[in-house]
Amino acid sequence: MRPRTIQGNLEGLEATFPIFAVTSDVPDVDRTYHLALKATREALVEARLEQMPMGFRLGVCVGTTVACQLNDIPFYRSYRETGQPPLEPVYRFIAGSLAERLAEATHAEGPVLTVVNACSSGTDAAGVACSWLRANLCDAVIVGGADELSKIPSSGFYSLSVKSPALCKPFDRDRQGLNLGEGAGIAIFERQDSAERRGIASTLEVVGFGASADGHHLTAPHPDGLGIEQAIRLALGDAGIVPEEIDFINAHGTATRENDRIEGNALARVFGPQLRVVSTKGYTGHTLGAAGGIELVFTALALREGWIPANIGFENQDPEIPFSPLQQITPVKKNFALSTSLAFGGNNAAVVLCRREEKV
Amino acid sequence: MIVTGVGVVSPAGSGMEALKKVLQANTPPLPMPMGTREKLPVLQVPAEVFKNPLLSPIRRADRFSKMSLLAALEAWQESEVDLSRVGIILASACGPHATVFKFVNDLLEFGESQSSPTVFSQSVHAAAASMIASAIKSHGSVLNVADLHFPFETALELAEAWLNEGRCDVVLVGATEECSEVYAHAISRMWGERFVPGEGSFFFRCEREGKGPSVRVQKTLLDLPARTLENSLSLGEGSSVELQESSWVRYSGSLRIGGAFLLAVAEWLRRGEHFESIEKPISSSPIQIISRCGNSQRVIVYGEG
Repeated sequence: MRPRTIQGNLEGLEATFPIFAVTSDVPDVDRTYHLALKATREALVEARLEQMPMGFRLGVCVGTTVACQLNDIPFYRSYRETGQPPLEPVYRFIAGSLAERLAEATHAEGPVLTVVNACSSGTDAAGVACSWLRANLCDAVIVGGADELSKIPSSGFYSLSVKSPALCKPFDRDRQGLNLGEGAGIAIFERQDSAERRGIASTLEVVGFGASADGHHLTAPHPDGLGIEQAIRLALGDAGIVPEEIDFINAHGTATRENDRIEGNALARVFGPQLRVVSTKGYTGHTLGAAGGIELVFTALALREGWIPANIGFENQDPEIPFSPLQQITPVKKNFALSTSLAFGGNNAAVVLCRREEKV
Repeated sequence: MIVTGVGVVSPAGSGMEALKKVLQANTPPLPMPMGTREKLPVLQVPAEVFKNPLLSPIRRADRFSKMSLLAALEAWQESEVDLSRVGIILASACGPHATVFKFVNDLLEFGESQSSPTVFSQSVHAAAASMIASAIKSHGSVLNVADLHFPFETALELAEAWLNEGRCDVVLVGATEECSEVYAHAISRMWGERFVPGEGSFFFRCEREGKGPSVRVQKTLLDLPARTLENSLSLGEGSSVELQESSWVRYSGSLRIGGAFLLAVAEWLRRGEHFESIEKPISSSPIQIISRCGNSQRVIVYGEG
């Protein structure tokens, strides 16, 4: 982690709050798109889809929060001051949404959708992809989420008093809030019959998805966590498994007081006190619309590689949360894992991944 | 998939009846000057719409959420359904961008320490659909999508997938666009008087089967180079009659969710209403709402059979 050069939409970003910035060579202009494109290209290579077969139906479903808004601060300042701002940011915006631009860049001609469900966008995109594939609307889907650091959500979270002045400590007793981050997490979901036709085998499978709405509050989860519990139970039901079959949970775990207490208790109700939980926000910060995509990829890699990363930042158990997250790298024992997301608007989403012993 | 409820907020006012009234009278709403700076013409949703008592639980919400809630409530017909199996999909191109600009304006005017958490939370795309879920007390999937091309058509297609896979028993699927002073300025600079921007919200209650007109989305690829979005309404396969964009935009203003507006118009045609500006449909034929952009075309096929 290191502070980025502050310009454009990052102008004036408070120096007192840590941020997790991508330090590789990614342009500042259209940054979310470039982050997403970088991850998409890597995912397509791994899926051996750099060259698509003739007639291949590739869909794109990605989540974002920053890239779906015409939110260019210098543009708006110029509008306020001169009434004649340069229109370049508007032209860029109307050229296409994040998913549309990725579809154009990858020559995808299947369905295209940008999910804007705030912080659960990436996980909800996974749910859309599952629906498309089940409906046979396409053969494969570029799925995940991407977001760049921006002054606007940064100020918004500041106004909500949920930003931590120190590095975030998910599920810790003394957690003070979230750190913002940026990035992209992209996976390729493909129908089994399509993969077989292409001669592709994988040990990973998406087996369940669930989503729910709290219908309670715009910015706070339901105090009893009923919505996230419902989403988890729906995902398990969709996968046709019982909670005991889940090896570990990659939790939303933003390190805010409310999220971790409410999500933690919901997880404990579903999985019992022996559950194994990690929040990977300690590595990335809260990447908003990208979070579900990045955490989907973390979960898939943990299953594939056979080890779960440690919940960094955690030191002391919170008496209001009935478990401690994993504090060191831990071997995977079972074949199923769950990734959860909670969002503004009371949206909750959960996805179940499976590791097959043999490639299918 | 069938449609069992339709709700509309448009420049004609709130409700399907208000839309029918202006179509019957062949008197499109008049563009009104927007904002205080340039006063550019916009087909705005009338101010009195926002005084509807149904909006009192969300009186502090923005116009985007209020339009969405009114349209959704009209389409939502209370009945005995499992509220955990009701889905909501809200499509948009630009989302609640007037609220985003308000937040940015406050940020520039007063600084970060004075920025409003209420305005910020409403600037997030997920706010409007969340308020709909709260109002109808549903707990199923809620999805917000934002694309510049075919957002409503893709949302409609997804609603059918949700119903067919058994994720939901009912899906409220809709589309909302608002116009802001900044947006009107940008449209004016880019396209002059060619487009008068509009706004509105259009919702459809969809179920897998039962009594009601069927609706489905077809996708085809064309050999067209330009990336401009056009909507038309064709009255039956092979019909030469189309309500061209130049005609229908007089009622809605230019919208990137024009397919949703036209689906509401199509519902009146299906019910047998006759409008002077639209030739009477062939009763046995489904209505086709065609949207084209570049080399891609979406056709919403609506009607019996």
